[in-house]
Amino acid sequence: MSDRDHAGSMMRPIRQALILFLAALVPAGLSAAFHPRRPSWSEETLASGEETVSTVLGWGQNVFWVDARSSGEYEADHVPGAILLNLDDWDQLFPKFLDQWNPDKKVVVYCSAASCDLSREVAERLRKNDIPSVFVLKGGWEAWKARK
Amino acid sequence: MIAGADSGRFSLPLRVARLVARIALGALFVFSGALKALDPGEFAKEVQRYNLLPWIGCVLLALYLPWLEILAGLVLVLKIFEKGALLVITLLLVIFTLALASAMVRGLNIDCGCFGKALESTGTTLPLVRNLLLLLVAGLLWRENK
Repeated sequence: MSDRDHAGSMMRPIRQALILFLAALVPAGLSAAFHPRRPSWSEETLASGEETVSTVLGWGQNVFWVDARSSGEYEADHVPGAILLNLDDWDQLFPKFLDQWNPDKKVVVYCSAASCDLSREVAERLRKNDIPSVFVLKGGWEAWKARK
Repeated sequence: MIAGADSGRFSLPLRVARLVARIALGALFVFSGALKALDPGEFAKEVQRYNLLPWIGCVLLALYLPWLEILAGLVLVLKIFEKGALLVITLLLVIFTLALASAMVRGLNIDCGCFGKALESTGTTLPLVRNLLLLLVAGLLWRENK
């Protein structure tokens, strides 16, 4: 095989690959314009101290889950390993929290949905009690369930 | 190259193995690309969980990558742009493997996202091993393609 042939045989896959790279732009562009499930261009904004489910899942085992909903909702179902801590029974539940809390872990508080404010209130109260790294789960339990 | 020139160089079992490997690898890429193309919104979030790209990069990748996979897989199966498709697929496998390895090293507890959301993938170890095997298959196809 001459050098020229060799160079030609090297160039062909590259040329073909470039055509594939360019051709894929067409359906990609159409998806960007028309796909019913296309991603939004701007990332969902987070309030301060708030984290998305995906971020929290990325923390792995390093999370201490706190359920800020009512005890009925907690008993029906909750994030595995989560402990119940709501404002109604704060005085009974907070000592239990302190028993189980691991200072090395990040505390993530959730309530039922994006609209609920309980997780923010509980997170605020935890911070006032000098618990460091407390976060609120954006979208709450609904977001967590949708994640699974 | 003359059509069929490489078929004369290999024994029949080798040719059959090569045919199966080519079609299987191509079909896998069509399949995984199609699953991701169904829901680019979800795939963008999967990409984001790797913590490697800013959100806009995740969006662009989620819109583009599935179609590149489908296209490359399809032409590999159809043997139209065989070498070009193999180049794209090898490149993608290398990138996927590096991304998975980096997620593993950083201790991220995430799903591979290899097949979008449709298939629940179990962590990153299994996909990493699978990718290395696929790279081996692609590598063999390259060798025999020369």
